[in-house]
Amino acid sequence: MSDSFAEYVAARGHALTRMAYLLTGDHSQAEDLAQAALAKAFSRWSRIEAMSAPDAYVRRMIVNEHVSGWRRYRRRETLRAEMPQISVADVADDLAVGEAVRAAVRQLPARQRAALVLRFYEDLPDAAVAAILDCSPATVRSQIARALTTLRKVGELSDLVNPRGE
Amino acid sequence: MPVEDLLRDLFTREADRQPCPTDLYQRAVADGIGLRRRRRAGQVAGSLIVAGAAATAVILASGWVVGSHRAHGPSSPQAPLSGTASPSSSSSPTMPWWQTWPTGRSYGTPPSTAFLAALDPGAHVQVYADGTLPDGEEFAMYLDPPTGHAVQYGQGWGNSPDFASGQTSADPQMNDYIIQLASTAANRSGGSDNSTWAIVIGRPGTTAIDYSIDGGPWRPMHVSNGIGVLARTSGQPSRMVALRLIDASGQYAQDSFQQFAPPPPTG
Repeated sequence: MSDSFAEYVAARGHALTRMAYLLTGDHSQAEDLAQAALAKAFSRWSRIEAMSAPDAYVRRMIVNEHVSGWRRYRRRETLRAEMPQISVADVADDLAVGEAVRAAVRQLPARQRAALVLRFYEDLPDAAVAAILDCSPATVRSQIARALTTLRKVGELSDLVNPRGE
Repeated sequence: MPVEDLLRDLFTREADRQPCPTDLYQRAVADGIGLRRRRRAGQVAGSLIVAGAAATAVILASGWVVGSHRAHGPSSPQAPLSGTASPSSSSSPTMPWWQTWPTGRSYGTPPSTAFLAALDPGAHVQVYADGTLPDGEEFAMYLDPPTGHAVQYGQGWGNSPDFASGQTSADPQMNDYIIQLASTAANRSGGSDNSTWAIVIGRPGTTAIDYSIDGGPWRPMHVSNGIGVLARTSGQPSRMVALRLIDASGQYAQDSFQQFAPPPPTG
């Protein structure tokens, strides 16, 4: 059992951590989130690996872990000379557009943000997103529509999306 | 450019910047073994746990907030944040932090006996921190051992500690502090108010908790028995709040969290 779990983490661990980062916007939280979900997955792995789509189930665990409940800040080092920063400022070559989108996405409710990540990063269809978010495909569509509407209304982003007020 | 394309581009570039932790498997397995043990311990406890779980599900559906965002369904409770294990900590990996902390620390006035008794009627719960918030709400961080949870939280009034509640299987090595983001009474009464409390429970002996908003100057949080409370004003945008926790040995922890706005003006 442990071998197949090890193979799964080796194959999918990085992708899951990347998705967790898009959900949280914080490298440390992303690691914790992926770890928490994988720990839960490990504790019932024999059941999960027998599923037709174990990876979808683990992704659902990550999203649920993020959207719901107790966020855990568990960092290996406690005392820091500088505060841990979210990703906004640490990429000097990012353009203003990236900054505007990033800031706007971070303001969205967690479920809307999760829906966007699953749709536009994971490229999942409505039904798959709905399965992960535990809602109907129609709800997924409305969550995404609402999120996109919100993003289009954000000042700088609105200018970027419609540079001439089109 | 369509916003959908902007998002795809952003997500791809952002995701590429997230490294894969080299010990992810080991950490997941270590935590997973602990979860398995706790689940088995919980199964032994019998029907009480099932009843507790059902009650929690109802509670979660009653309108929680995550930071400044109103909850979107039953799976969006507020978010307590747990602290890290300090290198100087006296705990060991086999000693859960709740066993190293004394019980009975209060922020301001302790909750009523009715509130504490209602946390889990008929059970002997261990209350590690409790108190009364400025709006009169009572709260408690506690452990009801048979449930197998690492720590639980209740907030409300009188014999109704379930206006906000939750539990977690937190890492037993976490022993320095816990942060609970909880809605205020005004928030719960409906309307557009989305104000929240940040309740920071430092480890025993914590003498001061400072906060800084968006990199601004450090300001002292009101602290009582190592527990600090900070208010978030309704309708304000999210902020990055930094915290530093201090005891007789000096600063022992520092952390930050999002989705929290500046406190209301005083005076």
